[in-house]
Amino acid sequence: MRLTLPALLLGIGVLVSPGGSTVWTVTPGGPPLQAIIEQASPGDTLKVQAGSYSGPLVVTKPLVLLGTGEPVIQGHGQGSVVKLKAPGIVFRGFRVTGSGNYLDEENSGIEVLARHILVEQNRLDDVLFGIYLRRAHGSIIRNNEITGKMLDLPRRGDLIRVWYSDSVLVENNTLRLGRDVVLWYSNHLTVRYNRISGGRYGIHFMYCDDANIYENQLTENSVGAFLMYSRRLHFYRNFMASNRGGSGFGIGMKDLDDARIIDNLFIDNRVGIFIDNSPREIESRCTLKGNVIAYNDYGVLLLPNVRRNLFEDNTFLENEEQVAIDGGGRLVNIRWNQNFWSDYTGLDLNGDGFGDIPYASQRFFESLMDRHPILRLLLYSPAVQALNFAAKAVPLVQPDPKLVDSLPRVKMVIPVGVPAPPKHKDPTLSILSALLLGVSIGFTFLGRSRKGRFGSIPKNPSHKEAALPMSERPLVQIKHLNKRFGSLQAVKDVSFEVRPGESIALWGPNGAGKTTVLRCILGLYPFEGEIYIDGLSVREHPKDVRQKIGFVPQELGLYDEMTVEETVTFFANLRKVSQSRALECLCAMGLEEHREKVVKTLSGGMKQRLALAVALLSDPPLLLFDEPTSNLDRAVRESFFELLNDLRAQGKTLIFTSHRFEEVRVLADRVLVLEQGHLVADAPPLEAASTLGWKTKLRLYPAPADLARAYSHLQAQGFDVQQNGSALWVWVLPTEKMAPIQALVDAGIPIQDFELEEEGGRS
Amino acid sequence: MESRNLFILALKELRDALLNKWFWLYTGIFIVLSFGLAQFGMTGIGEYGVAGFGRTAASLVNIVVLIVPLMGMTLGALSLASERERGTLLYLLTHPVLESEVLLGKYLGLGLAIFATLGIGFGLTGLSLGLRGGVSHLSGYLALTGFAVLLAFGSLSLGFLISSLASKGSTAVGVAIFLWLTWVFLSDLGLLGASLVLKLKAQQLLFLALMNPAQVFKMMAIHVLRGGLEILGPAGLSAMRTFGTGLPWILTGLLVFWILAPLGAAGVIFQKRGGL
Amino acid sequence: MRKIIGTLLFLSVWWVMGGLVACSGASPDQPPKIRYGEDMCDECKMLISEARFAAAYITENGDVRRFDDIGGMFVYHQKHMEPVARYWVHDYKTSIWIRGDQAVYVHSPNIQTPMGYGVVAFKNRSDAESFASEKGGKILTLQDLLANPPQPMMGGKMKMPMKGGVTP
Repeated sequence: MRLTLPALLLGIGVLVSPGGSTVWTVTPGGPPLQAIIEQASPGDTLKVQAGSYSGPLVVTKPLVLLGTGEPVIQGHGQGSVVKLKAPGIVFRGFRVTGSGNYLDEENSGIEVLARHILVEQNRLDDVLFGIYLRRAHGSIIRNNEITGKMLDLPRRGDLIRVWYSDSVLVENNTLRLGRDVVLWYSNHLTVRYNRISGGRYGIHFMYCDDANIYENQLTENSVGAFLMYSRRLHFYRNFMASNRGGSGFGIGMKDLDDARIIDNLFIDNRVGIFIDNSPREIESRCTLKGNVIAYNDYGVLLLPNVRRNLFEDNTFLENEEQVAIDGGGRLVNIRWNQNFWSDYTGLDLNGDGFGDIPYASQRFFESLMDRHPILRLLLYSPAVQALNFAAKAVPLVQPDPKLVDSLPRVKMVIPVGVPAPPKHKDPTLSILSALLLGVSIGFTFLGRSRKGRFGSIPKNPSHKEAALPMSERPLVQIKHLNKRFGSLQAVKDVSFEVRPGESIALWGPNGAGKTTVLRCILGLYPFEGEIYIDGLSVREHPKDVRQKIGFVPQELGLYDEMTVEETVTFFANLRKVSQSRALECLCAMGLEEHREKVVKTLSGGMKQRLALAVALLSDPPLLLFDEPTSNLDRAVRESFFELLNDLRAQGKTLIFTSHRFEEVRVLADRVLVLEQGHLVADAPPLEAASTLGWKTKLRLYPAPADLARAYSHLQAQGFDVQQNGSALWVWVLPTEKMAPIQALVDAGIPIQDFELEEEGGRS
Repeated sequence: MESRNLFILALKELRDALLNKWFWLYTGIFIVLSFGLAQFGMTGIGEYGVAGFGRTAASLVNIVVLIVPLMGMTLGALSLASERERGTLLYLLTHPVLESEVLLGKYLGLGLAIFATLGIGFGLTGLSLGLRGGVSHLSGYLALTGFAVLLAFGSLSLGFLISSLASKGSTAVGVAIFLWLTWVFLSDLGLLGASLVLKLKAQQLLFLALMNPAQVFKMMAIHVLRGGLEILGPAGLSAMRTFGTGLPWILTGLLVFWILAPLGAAGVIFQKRGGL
Repeated sequence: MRKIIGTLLFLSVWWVMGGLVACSGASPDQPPKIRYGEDMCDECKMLISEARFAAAYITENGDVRRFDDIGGMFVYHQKHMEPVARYWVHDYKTSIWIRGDQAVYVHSPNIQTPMGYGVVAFKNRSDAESFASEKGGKILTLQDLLANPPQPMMGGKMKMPMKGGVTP
């Protein structure tokens, strides 16, 4: 062991091994690496210590360069970083970074420009091209990790490029973000154990014969492996998944002869296997055997001119289209044998592992799509499924089978020894899904809670103020109200006012427009003219107006499936009234013991009272009733009637429609009489009745002996009288109901009994 | 418009939806189909731990395109029309609420109910996918869920439009089912026929298909799941070429249009017509 | 209401008709769009990555065919024989679209093109001539290339006809 003079001069450690070659130790603080390279003799070893070294580095003699602690060769973004120009160079353990950006100049991390060079265990990043071999026969590229530049795909370079270099071994490299691993014009290559992702063509062969390509992982590239213009490629146990770029092939086979594609996995690519013009030579054939082709959009896509291929023992699992022919047509001279087809519907009754009937690929829409690719747009649409189904049901329109596998397997054949990335153990999807599930189920519970308290109630509800007696201002003002339904004029120029505390009856036959007037007051539909409630325009303030009005319709629009309590709670919330007030109203209507009952089960009278309870919730000054008692039987009607009378006594303003004169007379201060939409009278009940000539029917029961005498006497007195059995019917004005009785008494004819029949009336 | 009223009405509608037989029928079908599909599609290929996520998700797209519009449209169609028929709508409007509040409240409530259906379906499926390691397309799956919700809301809007016009629940449902049939089956068959007979160009077919929200959803779903529309052939490529990176935004915009436009129209009609 | 529905119907019919007419195909006077790194070459199914080698033609039906190599376009055309409204190629120097019938082509085995056809196009004759002399190539016209599509080059030499010929 001795120190050489130049080494002493340079101040670096140099060891000479017994064989005669020198070992140089290079440190970052010392002289430039390039200078030492110039200094060293062929066969010397350079041990480069950790640290940063400036590139570019050009090695023109067979040296062994060994990085210790991953020294960095920095290219500073200019040209290529390392050029290895002599046969037999060993370059190991470096980080090479910062090549130039020019595609035209093919700026690279490492250029390998001579035979039998070993480039091993290096890390390359921020390089345009990675390792570029030119006429570097017999070189070995092994265990390198190469990451390209974050550029758009068209502006990236190839992470490994093999050019006119035979018998090269590319082994166990990890490549990300490149363009291609491209191998041109080179024979007898071996490409194995590499992991290539995020590039354009994971592996790209052009004019390279007799290569072995195996156990590579090609994922998330545009195309996994694009093999072209080559002979006798042996491609096996490779893993190709999620290659979904522009072309999106797991493997693309173009102009290949005698290719053997064996035991590979093609998963979730756009096209598992694409075959164009392979084989091209008349005596050659391609063999595809034992592959798993699963979950691709197309399992195998062939151009129609492809011939002489053998598909055997492959597993076709759930590809969107298992086999497609680009442009449609039938395949000729391609053998399908003993493959597994996930869409095979036959059985294996004899248990020999093969289906008892051949597999035939003939889906209606598929053959249509193959011929008219534009129709692919309709893929996944239910109509397409329906069409396929229909075609199956009606065999007449079944297309010719695309292919027939006479002996389909019924079990998958999964090759062993294919390298696959480790199983993803990312819990994010599970967690998010569980969250989604929880929230969704939560919603259904939210909807199911029967006792809803919908938000807070304002502390000072506005109805308190509204309940105070108003000034002289009319509570209701209607000016020139017109309402038209199509060609029917339902209300014509109706005007009236209602003062606070008044009780108004709207009277008139069916279709006179009573209900329409009420609905206009509530602002339920557009109308012409003006309506003011407590000074507010109905049209402009529909909500405030409705807050001041309690309404009990004729046809009750309560929700049948709600309970009594839920009903008042719901409307109390809409009216911004507290729960306790809602209960108060229930109690006032005598419904407190029915609160758990469902509305559907209530009697008519109870429903009516519930509607009244709802109407009273916000203690509105104005109450509207549409035929309040029409659907009730007599007893209920009377008790309800009393309720109304109480409300009137409490100072509520009432507007109601009715056709019972008794109700009108007792309850109304004024009657507004509507006829065919016109307001024809506005007067106190009796007066209105008189002016309109309404008559009340009296049933008089004189002693049977007096019947005839009474009849003729009344007739003589000018009464409208009619005999009916033992009774006399007399029609009189409501203000003159006593008159016929008085007349008979005066005439000395005693009346044993009488009845008053005021409903309806007759004019 | 008061958010308080919207909330009250939405909650009421949500409750009603959960009492609705139709709702549970759809929910049941959707959950059974989507979950069953996940089980079936994820049978996987043994030791390699790779399972058919893409395939499962694509079949989910199929189910969504089929069921979600039917669900949205029939439930939406029932919403106003059945209440109108029973008179409850008129009565409701005599209280201090606006037509717009009723419409939006109902929309939100039903929307929430449908969201719950989709959430349960997608949640169960996602859980099943996640637990088996099929998580490589997380964002795609979430986006698919989101767009399914958009499609549901769009069909709900159409349902509301039908509902705002119909006087009877049964009429409205009939129209909804007819429209669904047209929308989901007949229009596609029509497109198929037209493109064969008239020899439509890819771009023309695309233009016609974009008018159908179900197709828009489908394209969007495929775009997020597959990273592009290549699988849809020349018309899909034409979409990518014409709209470039704006494609997802345009598709989303179209879906949003199908939510807003019919709902807006329903609002105008309902405002005019009221509870009758 | 009926009027509004009628108007809407009318408008939508016009919208559909207008849309269909507007989408009826590419105009030959507009250079076609290529999404580099995403669009597939119609001849070789590889991705079109570099504009200066890319070519396209527009058929009389308004269909567009795209190629990653100018040579590929002529090969494809010979196979399919579609009536072409216009050819488009890129100027090798500036990578801008030029009309195929107005371009000057240089063919040389020494020009490395994506599929190895060795054909590039120029807008100016002088650029083409200087490039041809630099690469030892021939000047060709569109008609020449249509009549005799170039063959892919293997290892820098003209590829020999395959044993047994191209697949029948």
